[in-house]
Amino acid sequence: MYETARARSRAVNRAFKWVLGASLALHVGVFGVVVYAQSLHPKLQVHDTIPVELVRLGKPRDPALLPRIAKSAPPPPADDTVALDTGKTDKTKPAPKPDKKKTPELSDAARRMLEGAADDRLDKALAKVEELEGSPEGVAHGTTTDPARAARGYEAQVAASLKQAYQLPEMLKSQQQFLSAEFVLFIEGNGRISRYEIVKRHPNDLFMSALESLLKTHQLPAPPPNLASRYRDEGVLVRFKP
Amino acid sequence: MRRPRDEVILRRLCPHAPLLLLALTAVALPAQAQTEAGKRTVIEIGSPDFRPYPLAIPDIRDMAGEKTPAPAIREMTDTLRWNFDLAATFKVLDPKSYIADPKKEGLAAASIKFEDWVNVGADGLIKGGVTVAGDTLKADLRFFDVASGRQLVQKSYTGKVEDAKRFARAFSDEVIFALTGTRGIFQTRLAAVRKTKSGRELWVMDLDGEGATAVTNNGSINLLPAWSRNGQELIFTSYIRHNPNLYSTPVGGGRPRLLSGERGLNTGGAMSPDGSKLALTLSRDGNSEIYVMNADGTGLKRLTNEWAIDSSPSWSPNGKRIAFVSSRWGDPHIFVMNADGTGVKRITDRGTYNQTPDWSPKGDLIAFTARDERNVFDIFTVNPETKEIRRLTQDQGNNEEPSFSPDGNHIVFTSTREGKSQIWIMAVDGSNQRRITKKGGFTTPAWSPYLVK
Repeated sequence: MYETARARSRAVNRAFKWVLGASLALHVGVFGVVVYAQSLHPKLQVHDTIPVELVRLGKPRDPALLPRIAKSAPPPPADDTVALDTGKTDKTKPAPKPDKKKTPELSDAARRMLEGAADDRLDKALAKVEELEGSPEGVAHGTTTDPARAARGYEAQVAASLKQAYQLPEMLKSQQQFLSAEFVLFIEGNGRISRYEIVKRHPNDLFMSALESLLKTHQLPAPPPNLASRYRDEGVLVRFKP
Repeated sequence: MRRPRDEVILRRLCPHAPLLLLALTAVALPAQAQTEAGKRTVIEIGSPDFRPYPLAIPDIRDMAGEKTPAPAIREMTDTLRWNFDLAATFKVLDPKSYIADPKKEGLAAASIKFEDWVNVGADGLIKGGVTVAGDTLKADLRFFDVASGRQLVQKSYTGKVEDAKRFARAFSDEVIFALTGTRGIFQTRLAAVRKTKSGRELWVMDLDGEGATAVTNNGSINLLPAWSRNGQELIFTSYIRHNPNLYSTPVGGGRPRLLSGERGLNTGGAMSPDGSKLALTLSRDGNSEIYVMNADGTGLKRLTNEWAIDSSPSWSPNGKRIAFVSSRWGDPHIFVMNADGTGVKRITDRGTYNQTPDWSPKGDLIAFTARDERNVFDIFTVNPETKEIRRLTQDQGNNEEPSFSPDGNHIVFTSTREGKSQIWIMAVDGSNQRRITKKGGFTTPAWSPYLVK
């Protein structure tokens, strides 16, 4: 009984040694392949490690708890504290010389690209890329085919166009934050405002007359063709604050 | 654990008292009609950063030339300054900083040296002259844009001496409208419950706490006032007939009219924005549920049907939805449902005891009371669409029972930060908190709708 167990134990030990040896050989092989591949291909080279210091954060607040108002700002710094960047240079100290060592050096790939810039082949390659781009002037409504995204993009253009075009009368500058109006714009396919309806009028006549004169003459960007009927027939509500 | 003090009284008096713990309702406010954009696309074109509008309010002049102005004139100046201090969009400049001599300046633009007002940093200037003859008061109030020297508002008022504050409030509203295009709130009023020796009575008062008058004087317990749409009546729960029934009574005093006298609780009456319906909480079937009925008390319809307690209905400004409190998921939380009882949606998922919702007339926020992790009650707002919660009060006693102003820019609430429960007002972002009442014992305030057409 004992001998049988002993023999089985020897057999197990022998098998274990074989497995251990095979595993060792496999690991050495894989490591060798990686090192060899790195020396062949620059992309695979190991980058410099950046030492980082982990910061231990406090215990996260239970998301089920109600929010709390942040505590008041800390008191102003004492006189002996060092002011951070104030935008002024200290004339008592000479300006630091630029560190030549820190000048970024071109990578091998970039150098190769520059060296090849004179090559006709590169010109041809660039010409091919340019053919694939859009028109130099771009397209007002973009090239997106998703109607929702196209509408958002167009409405952002309308907002920017109106915001830029409206000139607040000088004498209303002090009241600017109180001024607002709501109106519906009906926009034709070429961007012309065919009509508008004032939904919420501000009692300040000067503000409203300046706004209405803008709406009568302003040319908006043309809407995307697939959305033109929406802006022409349904219109768009604008909540305007100068 | 702190309980609202109303609960203690109700627990003693009502067999269904435990249910009332959740039935301390916020009062639904009248709402402005919102711009109905429908399905139309909306473009928002924003304005630059906000800064308070600097406003100079020199002393109102006594046109009779008296060395000591009449008290009514002093009151008028103080009321104007108080009003614009309350409106968080204004900053009333310190009168000590004024360099112009108001006694030498007239009321007309031509006689005002605007450079002096520019130099003290004023963008706006309010000037006024008052003549008091016996019991009659004549006031001429004007508002100028300092930069342009233009007169933007001019109003004349004639009345009794005791109308001085009323005139100042009316003029404040005129200035607010001229600048912002929205109505001012200074002629609105507050309703609240006041503890008395014999029970609790309903009171109404002006925004500055002045002019407080009792609406009920029945020696019973009267609770949870809410304003009718026209501001002429208060809807409230009373134990006049020994059961918490729902009544309405004229604000000027008069005989209460029974709206709902079902067995058990009849609380939280909230009138719909169009004034045709009344949402309320009833426990006639043994459990507290939300019901809706016609304003005349007919056509009762049950909206919720849950094993848990549902209470404190508050209408959305367009009347299509109702916010309410429910403990159907365990702790009481704020929920929203369509006006027909469908589409129930939980709005708050933080806190353990959220109650007394009040939907802003602007529609974008619901104010509510919540108990935080320190077992203190504070005021919060939640956006019903994004569910974003914002805290408005903190570390200053218990703050409860919020109610929106009709313009949605302010909130009235009760606070124990100075001891007894008093009424306070703050801006909707929690800033500019100020006490309104001078004595304690006030609870469940409700802000009136616009009272002047």
